[in-house]
Amino acid sequence: MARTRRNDDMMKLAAISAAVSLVVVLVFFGGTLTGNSSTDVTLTTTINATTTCTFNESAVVFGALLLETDAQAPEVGDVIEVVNDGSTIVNMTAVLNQTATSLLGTTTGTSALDIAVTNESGTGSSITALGTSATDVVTLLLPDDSTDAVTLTTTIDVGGGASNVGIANEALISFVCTADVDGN
Amino acid sequence: MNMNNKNMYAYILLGAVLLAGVAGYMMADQAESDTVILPDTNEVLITVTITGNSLDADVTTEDNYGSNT
Repeated sequence: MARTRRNDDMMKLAAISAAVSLVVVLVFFGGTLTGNSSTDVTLTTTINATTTCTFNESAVVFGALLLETDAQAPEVGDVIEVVNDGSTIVNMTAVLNQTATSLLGTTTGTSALDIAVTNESGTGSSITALGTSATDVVTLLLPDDSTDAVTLTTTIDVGGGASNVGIANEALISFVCTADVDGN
Repeated sequence: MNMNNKNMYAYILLGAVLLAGVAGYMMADQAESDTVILPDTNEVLITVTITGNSLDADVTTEDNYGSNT
């Protein structure tokens, strides 16, 4: 009988201790647990690294273009080589700041600015049509010395009905290299 | 001490343990960190100039050929 009473007292002590702990937890974390709190926190970020894609060309100039012709390549020397000089595997997207039709001023036929990819590592679409939305052009470009480069060759299809014949028109292609942290 | 009080104490004990576990999980979750690597953006300027019509070029060649004869 005495042993039972001692066990009951121990149980009572344990329950009271747990209840006190419960109150402490609710006081400090009650808002967080229920979602009914607003707390100002200091956000600290550490940038581990920066991807580094080095381009050997900053401009591509097409030679004389004729209306209604396809796949005219730029002049020799305008092929772009990109080297992954960083320490991480990268993927690359490309986006035009205007459509090919707008760039060429054409009103009929098909106008397109394409990019052909030769990748020393990983994969890349053989020919990708660029647009005003980001398009994947290179995936899994390694940072290794022997396989860290990719060659981009731009070609252009010219439609018809252009009103701006003889006028040089310009567009920007933005290439964004993003680290592929998972490598997949 | 009757049986009901024993049950109540047991439930309080169980509740406290569960709550402490949730709180501990949330505290551990707050301490997670992600790897941050900034992207790199490069721009290439494309310049195009349309000099004429491919059909016009053919016509011009024929005209020149005709004038020479």
